[in-house]
Amino acid sequence: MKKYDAVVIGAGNGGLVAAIRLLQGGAKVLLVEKHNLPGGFATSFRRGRFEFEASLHELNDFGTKDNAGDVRELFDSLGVTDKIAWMQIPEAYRVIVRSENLDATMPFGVEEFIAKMESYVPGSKESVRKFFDLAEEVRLAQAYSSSVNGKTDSKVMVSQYGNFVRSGSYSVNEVLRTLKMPQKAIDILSAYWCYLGAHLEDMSFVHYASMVNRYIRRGASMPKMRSHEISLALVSRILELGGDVLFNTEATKILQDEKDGGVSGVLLDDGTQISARHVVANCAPHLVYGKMMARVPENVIRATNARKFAGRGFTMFLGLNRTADELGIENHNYFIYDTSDSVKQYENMRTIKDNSVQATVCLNRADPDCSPKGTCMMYFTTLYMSDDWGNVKAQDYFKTKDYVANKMIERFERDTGAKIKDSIEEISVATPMTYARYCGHPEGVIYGYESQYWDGLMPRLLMMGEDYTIRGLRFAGGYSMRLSGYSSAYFSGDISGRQTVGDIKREG
Amino acid sequence: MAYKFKKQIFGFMDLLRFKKLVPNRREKLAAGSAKSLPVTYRVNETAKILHPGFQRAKLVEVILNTSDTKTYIFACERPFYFRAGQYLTLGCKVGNSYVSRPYAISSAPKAALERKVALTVKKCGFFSGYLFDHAKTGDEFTIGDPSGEFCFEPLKDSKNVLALAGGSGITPFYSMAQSIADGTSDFSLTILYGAKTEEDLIFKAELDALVSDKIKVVYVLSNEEKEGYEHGFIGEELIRKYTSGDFTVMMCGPQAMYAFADKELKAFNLPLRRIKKEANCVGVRDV
Repeated sequence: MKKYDAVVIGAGNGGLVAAIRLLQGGAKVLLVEKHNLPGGFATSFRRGRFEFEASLHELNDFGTKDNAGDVRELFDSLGVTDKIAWMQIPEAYRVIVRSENLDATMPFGVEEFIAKMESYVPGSKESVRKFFDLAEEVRLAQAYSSSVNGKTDSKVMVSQYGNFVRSGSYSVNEVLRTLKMPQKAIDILSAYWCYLGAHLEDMSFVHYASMVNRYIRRGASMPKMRSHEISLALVSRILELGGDVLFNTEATKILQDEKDGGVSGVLLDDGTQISARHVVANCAPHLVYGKMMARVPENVIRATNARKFAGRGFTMFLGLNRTADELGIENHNYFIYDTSDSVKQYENMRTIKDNSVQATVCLNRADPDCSPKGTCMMYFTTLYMSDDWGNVKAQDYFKTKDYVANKMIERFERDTGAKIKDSIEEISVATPMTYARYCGHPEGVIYGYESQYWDGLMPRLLMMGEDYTIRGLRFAGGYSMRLSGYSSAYFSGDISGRQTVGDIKREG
Repeated sequence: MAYKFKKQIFGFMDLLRFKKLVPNRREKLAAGSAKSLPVTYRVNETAKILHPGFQRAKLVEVILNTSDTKTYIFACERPFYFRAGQYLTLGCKVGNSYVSRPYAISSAPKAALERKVALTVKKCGFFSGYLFDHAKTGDEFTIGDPSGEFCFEPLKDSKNVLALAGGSGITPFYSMAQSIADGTSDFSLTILYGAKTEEDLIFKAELDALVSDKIKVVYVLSNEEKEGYEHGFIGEELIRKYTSGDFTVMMCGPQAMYAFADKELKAFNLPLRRIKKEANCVGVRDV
């Protein structure tokens, strides 16, 4: 039987980074991936003349060489930064809520952001500056916490990062109201909420502030040749470091030790048994505990059932046969909402019928050459906050896809004035079924477990040790301790990979 | 920084609240249901119908359409679904080799929900030849995921579709015609079907039976002149005769047909988005 120190199940963002960390830590590693490509969501696909980016809107916390973010530093440390050609996103976002006469385009750069906000909302600059100062302290507190592997000294936390601790248990809205930020400024600042998929009465302030701060302070980046290039670079690094990678190979079971119920191996779909005492699972705990393990302790079942699935994904990809200028697509990324009230908006995102929200990108605004001359490419993403797609039968699937896609096109045209329908040369639509098919996610959930008030970033990080319940089994990816998002998933792989290296050293 | 954040009257009350984050979560996790976790989910089950992966298929009927074309009807392991115009791979062991080829689906999408699928294949190569000469009911095959983009796209295509079919290239259009007739798809389909003689026309009777206000079929014979049929090749004149206004062209047939059709279509100045092609019938290769 083939023996490894660790098996990484799933070559998604988390799994790929975990595998590299394990190899750097001296472990013998097997990475298994059931698809024939690495990356999970981080990939691309071709239709006609277009190569579409599958999921990445803009990479958070990467930055440039002189303004490096934590993700760039992580990639430097993994040895992959230079394998990828990077480009910068031109502006932060344009948020449109026509029903409230809100149409604000915001720049990167903290000073620029504050100034622009002041121009939209006179008198807002003091509270917005406080927000960024608080957010920066959050970032420093997180850096301190990482530097001591999560084992923070509470005296240090209270004395040096007191604001972080004092704001750390509150939601975004609770903190912004405490800062006495004007409502319109809150509305503009909140635009990014759909990147985290929980409304702002639920979502932890430190989580949201951390993300916004990193975007605005470092700018956002994109790999020139799509996220696929990042995935390829990570795999090539794994191979360079001597890891084994099997594609078209599904891990069907995690085998358990008779005595302690801990990990003893992995069963592959062709019947091969791999012996290993450590697994990093880049997939949902619901899947691992639901169908991959024979003996799951009751407390683990209870804990898993207590979690709430976050948004289910839907993305429409358009290849257009005119340029962005010709079509009137002015910006790189748009947030189009019905209301700035994220609680109300969240409710409207439950069903196929009611959901009209979109986070939309025209990649050509960041890279004019990403599609052939005279064309442009767009992708429109939304989330469903319930399992409404579970009600859609196979025979109604295509009609339902078309209904939603058509709504998205009309909404974009109506709210931006752009004319795109008659210029569609290629159209491809991904639904929760698509994400279920490619990545196995339950219900087509793309955001892991929702950042509910009690299950947000802070408690998850603080309970990392406690959440490690089955010996040898750790998780990476959107369902794990850093929640979802590209940069978060990379970090989860960094954390679980290094933790597993420690586990291996301790117990063999 | 100078600013000191506190939400409650006393900062320490905010601290205490922070300290409760862990006990709160611990409590919530412990209070979760002890019911076993689901083994599957509705969306994931539907995804399996839309993307069934490889499955076994038993040949249950063979129909001779013309002197060199047969339709093979399979009963599959699992129900699945596809869009009319797609193809799937069919494979089996021939001698000591596992061989598979992609063939256009000639049955309607609805039939696949009942685990039935039909492929119509012209004998012109290694595997198609094997099937024509040897395949019999009861034989076991493997079929793959329905694939391909050669389908009507409601959000992009004109509702008037002009289909140019050559030889066995009629297959995807026959699936589309059934799909319109049974209410699955909603568009107007005008098929210009070119063949050498009347005998070479596959599905003539079946297509004639589907003609309606949404489906029109025009047979174009190159080697025969017959009453009720067009004569010659599918060129500009013929296309103009059967179209008006905006239309989407879909072409499926031998390579030579595309070269000819592309030339003839130039006169219409159609943008790329209005023309779709599917490769069909490669034939025997000298590899």
